[in-house]
Amino acid sequence: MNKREKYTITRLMKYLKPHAWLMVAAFLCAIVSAASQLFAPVVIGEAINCATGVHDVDFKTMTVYVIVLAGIIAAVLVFQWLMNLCAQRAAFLTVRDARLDGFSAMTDAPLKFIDGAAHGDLTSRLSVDADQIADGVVQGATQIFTGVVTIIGTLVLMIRINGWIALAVAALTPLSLLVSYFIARGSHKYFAEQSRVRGELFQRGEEIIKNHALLTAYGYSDRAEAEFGETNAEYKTCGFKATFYSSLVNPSTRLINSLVYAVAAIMGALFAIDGKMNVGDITTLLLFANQFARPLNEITGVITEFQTSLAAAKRILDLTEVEPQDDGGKSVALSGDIRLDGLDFSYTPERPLIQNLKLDVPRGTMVAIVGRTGCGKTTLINLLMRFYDPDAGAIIFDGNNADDISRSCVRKSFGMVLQDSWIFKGTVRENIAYGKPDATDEEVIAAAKAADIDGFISRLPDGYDTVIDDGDGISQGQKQLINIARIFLTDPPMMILDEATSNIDTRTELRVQAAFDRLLRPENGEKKTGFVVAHRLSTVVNADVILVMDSGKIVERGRHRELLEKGGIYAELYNAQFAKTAV
Amino acid sequence: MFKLIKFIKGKTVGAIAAPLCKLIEAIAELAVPLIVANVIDIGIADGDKTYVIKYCVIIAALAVGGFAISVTGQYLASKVALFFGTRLRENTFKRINALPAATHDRIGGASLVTRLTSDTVYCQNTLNMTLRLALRTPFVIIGAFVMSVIIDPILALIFLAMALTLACIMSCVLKITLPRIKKAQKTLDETARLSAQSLGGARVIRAFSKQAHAKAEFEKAADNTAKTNISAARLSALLTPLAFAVVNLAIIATLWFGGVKVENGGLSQGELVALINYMTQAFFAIVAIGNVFTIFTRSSACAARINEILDAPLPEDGDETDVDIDAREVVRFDNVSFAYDGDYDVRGVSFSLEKDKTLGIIGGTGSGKTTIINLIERFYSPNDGEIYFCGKPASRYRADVVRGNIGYVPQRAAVVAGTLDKNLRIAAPDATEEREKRALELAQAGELLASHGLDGHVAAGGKNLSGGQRQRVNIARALMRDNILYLFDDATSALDYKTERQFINALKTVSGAKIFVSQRISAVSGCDEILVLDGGEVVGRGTHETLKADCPLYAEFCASQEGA
Repeated sequence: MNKREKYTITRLMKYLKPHAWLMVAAFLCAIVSAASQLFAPVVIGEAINCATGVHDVDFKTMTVYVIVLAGIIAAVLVFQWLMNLCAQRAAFLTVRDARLDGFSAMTDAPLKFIDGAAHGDLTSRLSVDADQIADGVVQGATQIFTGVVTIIGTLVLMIRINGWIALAVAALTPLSLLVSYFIARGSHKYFAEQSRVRGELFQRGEEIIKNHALLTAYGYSDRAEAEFGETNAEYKTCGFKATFYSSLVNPSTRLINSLVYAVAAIMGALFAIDGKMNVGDITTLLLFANQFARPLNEITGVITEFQTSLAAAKRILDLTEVEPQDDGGKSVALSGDIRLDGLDFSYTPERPLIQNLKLDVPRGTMVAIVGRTGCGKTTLINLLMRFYDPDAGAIIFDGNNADDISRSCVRKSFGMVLQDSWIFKGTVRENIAYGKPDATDEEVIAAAKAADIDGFISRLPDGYDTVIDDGDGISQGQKQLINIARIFLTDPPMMILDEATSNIDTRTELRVQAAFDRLLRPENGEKKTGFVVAHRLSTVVNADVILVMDSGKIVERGRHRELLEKGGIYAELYNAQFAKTAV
Repeated sequence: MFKLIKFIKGKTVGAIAAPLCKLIEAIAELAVPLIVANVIDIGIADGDKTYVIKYCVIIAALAVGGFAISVTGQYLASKVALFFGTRLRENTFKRINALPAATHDRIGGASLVTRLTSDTVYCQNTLNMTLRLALRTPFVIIGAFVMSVIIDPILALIFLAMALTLACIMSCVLKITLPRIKKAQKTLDETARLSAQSLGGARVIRAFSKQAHAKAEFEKAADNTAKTNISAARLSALLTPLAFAVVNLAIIATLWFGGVKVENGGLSQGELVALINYMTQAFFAIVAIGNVFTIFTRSSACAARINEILDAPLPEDGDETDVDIDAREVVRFDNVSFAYDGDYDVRGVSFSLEKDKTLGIIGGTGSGKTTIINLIERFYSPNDGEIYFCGKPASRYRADVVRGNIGYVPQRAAVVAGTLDKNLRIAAPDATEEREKRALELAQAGELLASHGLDGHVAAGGKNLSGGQRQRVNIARALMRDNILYLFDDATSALDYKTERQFINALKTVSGAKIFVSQRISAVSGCDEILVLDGGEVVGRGTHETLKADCPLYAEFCASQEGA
């Protein structure tokens, strides 16, 4: 066992600790049931000794043995069941705890972690990998424990019957262990190869199936089949090796066991002829010789599984240790007055993105941000929402340095509508009331009306009670509108909108713009501070200030008219949209 | 599963020999208790040491012979199984490629991939297992039973009762636990769904400070998983102890009634030992059958999923291969209607496109624009009406002939892992490097060529390219060969307006009819004719100028995009 595995086990112990009594109970039950199981062959042997020949059967003693055997059966039945129950309960509760901690760490993790991780990978850690702890680690532990108890017990009992035969069996059996160990080690290589090629097969298949339309259009199928065939043939070779080598374990250990059995039979019979043993003892010894090797072989199997599941356990345990993002600081009501004071930020130190960004946004200002992809527009949102922290400089809300205010307080003060708006599986009502779960029906409907999504919702099969999910039949624009309805309910002092870039219904887009305008300029006249990442230049015409960004810097700022007259980057972008194309 | 057996063809000998080998091994194994009985009854009773040694050497020899033949069996079984699996995959993959788009939509890409990979591997493993155990295990059980009958027909009844009880208990436990295990699997899917959902909504959850709520939701799901698993385990935990109990009860009965027989002289001590040995042998075989049974239930589900693919009907195809490349009219839709399922997605669409002319199609999301492209590419066939390609009904051609004359740029820019060169050559394997460079230039991807080069690495799914770069690679691919017709399905949505205009201007140097589908006025405004679609129907047709005046929807599009 290497250092890393030891560390994983130490951490795993922490999760087992609350269920320690279950594990202890499982171990105790394991001792009782293994010991009882061991005595069964002894009792059977003794019982056979009572039946030596015609008119030579001692029924009285036999009755005693039969009753003892019945007792053993009862004990095994109860204790093995209890052992399984305790071990599995401990296993599943441990899994649950690890899973909860993993999820909790993920939820509290800084966005830097979430953005940098493969989401599919994190999800599989929380679902599949966590399950492996139950299958491999906890159950493996009980199996190994039972195995050890059985081996020691068998050895002791065999020595008591006949030391020489016990010695022979004990000396020969490790042979089978050795053989299965070598086979396992040899086939491990092929298994690793097999899973690699299988991954490749999966990736090839997926790529071609995903692009079915395109590849059909260009008659690529034959070439795709040839490529797939290559990988498939490779899989055939290494898959055969893995299957064949691993299938050698059973016959090999059976061979060695049979040889051990034959040796025990010869020795036993010879001892019996010399009058040093009786037939019952031989039967018992042979039963033991047969069962001695089994737990040993099982243990080798379990240990391999144990290692695989330790690797899986490590993946989920690593997740639980992700540093949470701090949420300290005071909680204050923000009014919407923002000042950016010389912000520096980069995702990777080698590529500086935002440099010395300065901006004054008095309460009620609507700021439009334009520029090419990668110019830092979205990053600015990340900084404002405190999803990321600036490397230098400060964001000042109402004269307070953002670092002194809690993250949740800052975030609650913003209404945020992203390009890829988020819908969770639940009713429309739950989705709208997300930020205010105790909202009344009237409030929810009013918010939906204000966001101009009421009409769409009422056309859904169950209206506000329709269960919706991300990506089924709801367009990007409609999702944005539901997000806007959410914000109408919470009514924060500052707003952020990241306009959708492409593939959106332009009429819905218009409604999104209008609804967002109603958020910024409510009927009571109290203008709110707003940031819009604009892809449609029509949005920017109404902005109080337009920021034109290029590689993290503000290269132009001003109102629409001023910037047009200036004839710079903004004017160029603007004209490109409106220039009539002629094919 | 049985329907898939045909893929063994070619390895039939191995498929028969493998279980036979395992059978011979089992016979060797069955002989052992009988020999031990002789050793006890004759060797020990007579004190004949040579007899004892002779027979024990026979046991060892049987073990070695059994080993050799068993290894042969395993070898053959592995060979046959992998042969079967490889052919099954090959055929499934071919079928998947040939299936119509509608079948792909119905089954779903992810499911097709699982069927192609996991399901075929599972079937292959099941075959391997079956070949190894199919004859061996039943034979061990039946053989052990027959041996017991030979020793003592009456006591063999105990054996029979034990076997039946064991089988009964196992099937009952399986029957009750399987649905629970399935349920546990479902709750696991729910935890996976919740964590994926929380990752997708990471920003919104934080924005509303709903972390605690998310955790509570997840806790419910995780708790549920634990509870379902524990409840499933409660019963399955009984399986081994119960089996142990049944076998040992049978041994008690054998001991007692055997004892009576020994007393009366109907049975020897050695035979009693042999009877008990056969019982333990059969016990392990029955447990093995239980495992096989579980695997078999699962694999029959896998096989059914594969069979669904293999039995799915192929699209109808014509046999015409001659395309009149000089035809005046390249495409004509004659009152075409189409529905994916139920409601019409395109209804009564008619238009015609002449050689070297351009057609623009504009409309909102779900207006049927892409459906028209899909119908031209023959991914789907119209329910009503007729589509003509170069003067003849499109359905009369072989589909690959039609497709071979079209430069297709899909809405979702698709790239495969490999190099830029590989991606371009999908359309024309034998094209020259000059052609590749020219195509990239036309597609406004000159900077991509400069920065990546033709051998530049393209990651799976094009993750190392931006959306705009992926779109330009797709456009360049369509320009890799000379086509009669080009289909640009929202091909410029991720390009900025300036690049889009440069591209449209560059395209003028390429001959061939072109269809531009878009939501953007700027992408279609210069076309010779523009169709305006709404809800699958043509609601306006004309040029940019006439539509602006006559078609309210088109005017609305103009207004929303020009902000005027």
